[in-house]
Amino acid sequence: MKNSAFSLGLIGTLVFAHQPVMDMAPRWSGGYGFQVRYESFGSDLTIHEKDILSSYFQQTFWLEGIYTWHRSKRITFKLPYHMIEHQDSDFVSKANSFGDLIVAMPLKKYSNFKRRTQNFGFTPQVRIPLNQEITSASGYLGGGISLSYSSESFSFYQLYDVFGWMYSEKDPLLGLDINLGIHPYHDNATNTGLFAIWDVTARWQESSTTILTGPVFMPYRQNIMARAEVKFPVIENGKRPQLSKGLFMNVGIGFVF
Amino acid sequence: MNSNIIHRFILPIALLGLISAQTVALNDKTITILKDEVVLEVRGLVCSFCAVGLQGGLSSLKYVDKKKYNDGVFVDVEYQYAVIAEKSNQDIDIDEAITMITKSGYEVLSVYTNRTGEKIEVRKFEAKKDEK
Repeated sequence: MKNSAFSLGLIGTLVFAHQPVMDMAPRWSGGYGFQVRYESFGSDLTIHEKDILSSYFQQTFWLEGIYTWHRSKRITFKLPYHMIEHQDSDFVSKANSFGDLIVAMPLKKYSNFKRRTQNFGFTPQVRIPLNQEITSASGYLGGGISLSYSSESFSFYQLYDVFGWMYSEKDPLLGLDINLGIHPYHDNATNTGLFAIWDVTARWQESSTTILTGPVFMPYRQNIMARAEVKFPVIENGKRPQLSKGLFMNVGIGFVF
Repeated sequence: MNSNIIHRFILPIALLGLISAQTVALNDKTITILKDEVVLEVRGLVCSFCAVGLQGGLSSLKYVDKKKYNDGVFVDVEYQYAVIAEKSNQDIDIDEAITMITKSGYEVLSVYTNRTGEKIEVRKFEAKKDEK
């Protein structure tokens, strides 16, 4: 039970579903952008038993980019670099490597209303392993579909994203992301402002269910936007012993042109 | 005494009349239309981060006075309008501006100009139900 497979298979599946740049831009034809993010999660707590001397901590740097050739058609990529520290009893392993490349094609249908804009999104995506080695976080060929709805007024922002992934070497994944937020500050003269959002992240696999939630802050100025979030696990269960995801942290900065 | 009356009452009233003649009400906000500016009411313009793309596009138009606002463009995402500052006695191509805004994913509902400085001209457009 304390082999690395149980924790490897179950903890490395915290898929960050959002699309660059910060799910929002560029919306204009010919626009492009990129963002870098740092995320970390992991713990030494099991969700079933207390007696397993095991831990898993993962840090990932993401380089992400987008090109919008028409406001309804975009292409994005997400390239991770993982740093994983994993311990099973006395065995400690550390691994740093590039993970799987994710390429997506968000297709959006926009509607503009008086003082509000909304869009429905359909996003086919593929996950391509860049090296042969299978780790907790990489080495899986996969295909995914996302259906999303986003609405924004001057004061409120909401995003709902349901998605599924099928992998060659592991259980399929179903996910739901909900972002509900307010826009408490904006200065027209400098195009500077802030979104304050509450995020709910749910992931289901055959072997586990995870729901994380927490606050997100997104300040922006002109063509630069940042995102900082902290999420706590509120529901974690599964058929097999596994480690808690622990505290999830994500900070990033994006640029659009 | 007469001079005092002129300064305290007549002049402000006259100025108020002049200003009110050069203003329009746009989404519950009163906006002054200046001689060398074009004001566009834009439906869907609520995404502040997206407004950057619109600003960049409109700034690149010919005859934009980049010394004003942000490179010549002011965008109000609360009341959904954009102002383009023109160089003195040189007019921007309004149709090109409209095309640019539409390409950015928004709809232009009306365009206000005040070329003579005395009379506001308005072009209205029918709102599409939605866009792809």
